[in-house]
Amino acid sequence: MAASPQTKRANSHPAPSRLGLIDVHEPSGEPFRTLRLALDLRPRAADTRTIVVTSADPGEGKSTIASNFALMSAVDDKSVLLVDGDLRKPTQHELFGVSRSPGITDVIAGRAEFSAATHRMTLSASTSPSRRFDLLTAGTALPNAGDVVSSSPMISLLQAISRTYDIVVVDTPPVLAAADAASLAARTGADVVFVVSHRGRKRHVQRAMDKLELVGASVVGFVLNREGRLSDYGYY
Amino acid sequence: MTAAKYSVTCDKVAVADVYAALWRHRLFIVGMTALVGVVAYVLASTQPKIYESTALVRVEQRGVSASDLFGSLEVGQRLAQTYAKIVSTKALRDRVAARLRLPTTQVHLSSSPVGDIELVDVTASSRIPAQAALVANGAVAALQAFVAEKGTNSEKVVLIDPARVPTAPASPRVKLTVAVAVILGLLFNSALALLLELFADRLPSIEDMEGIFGRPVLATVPELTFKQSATRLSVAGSRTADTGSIAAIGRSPGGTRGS
Repeated sequence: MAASPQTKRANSHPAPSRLGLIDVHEPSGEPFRTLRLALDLRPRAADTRTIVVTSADPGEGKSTIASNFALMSAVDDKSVLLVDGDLRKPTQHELFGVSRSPGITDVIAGRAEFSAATHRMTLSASTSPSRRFDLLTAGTALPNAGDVVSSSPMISLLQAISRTYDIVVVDTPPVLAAADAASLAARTGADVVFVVSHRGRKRHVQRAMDKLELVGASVVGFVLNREGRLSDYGYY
Repeated sequence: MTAAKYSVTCDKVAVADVYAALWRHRLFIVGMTALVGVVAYVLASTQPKIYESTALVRVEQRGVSASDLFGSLEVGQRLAQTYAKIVSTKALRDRVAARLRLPTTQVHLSSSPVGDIELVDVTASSRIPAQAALVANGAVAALQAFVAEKGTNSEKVVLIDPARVPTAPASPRVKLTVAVAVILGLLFNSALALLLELFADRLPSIEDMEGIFGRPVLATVPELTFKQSATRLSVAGSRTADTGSIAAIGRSPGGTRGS
């Protein structure tokens, strides 16, 4: 599937399809339904759930997993916010075809209101009612991204967001590249979904897991990305 | 605990792991084996062709009665071994070279008894097919002359089957060489692939992930292709509605849920 986003300024004109977004009604959506179910069935203390999506190394597909999981969660009639927490190399704004700023750094810096920085995405299909979810992009680039991610305003923002949405999905940098994911997960009590691609390195995964465990982050499990072909799974 | 679990799992799937590793490295194995085959073919093809021609002779004893037949056969076998050895000597090679007026370096002879009987194979090799046959037959004549000159009167070397001009080279055997190289290359490259696998920092199988890292696999996402579909995603021109709590960060977060 490809999603066809419309720009903020001309939302009545479909833009070209975006690579990386699944069709929630196609078999390609099934892995994300499985992920949604697996996370839904896990016990949780609060009504809300913040999910930090990370990986050991770059290029393992965490941003794609995060965005498509947010899509699929929105289909489940839940209020969903996708946050681009990778302030160093953000990609969600490109994936959804929106502007990078204003975004989370602008909200933290007080340059923009949360409401003004958040994009409301409407997912519509002819066969089902429209669903919506919100996207908070990374915002204006900052030289001290690591400090911003672990700052109190950032944590406070995420905590406040988590009380507003059913599900908050945070796309973060790789654990071995930056401490952002570990910091966010540990300080907000978020569940960590660890994305591993089939070309991942065992030692890297182990080191990343050790890092997350060191700070007390709650890693709920793995998502194995690019494991075989869709036809191998026998979806119908 | 985790290590123990892992080792048990490894024991159970060791053979499957080997197959899986070989399958993962199939391109490497096939490619390298093909390369070995090509190299073997090139090397074998560029080698000079050597032709071999063989004459068969019988070491005969004269005046043997029927009662001595068994004993003479045994003696004949020993004589066959003796003459086979004589054919390989430099002395006979020199005789052949002199007889055929060839340089000694062009006379390559070998000989071996045929089984446990009185027959001897006299083989000559040369880069020229006709010369191989000529040298083999010349060696037989030289051997006959040698026996007549130096041996006893009771022995005689009889030519049974003269050497003929060979039509195909004895070496290099290109097909055989390539076949052997491919088989050995396959074995070697498979072993190399397993060695690479041993040192590769590869992730465990899905089944072993939980045992090793202590966390379950929540989902597996296949390689996805993205195309245009009926589902549309649009960005609203207006911003989100339920933002009252977010606007009050650090003061009193609260508000409603939903979108």
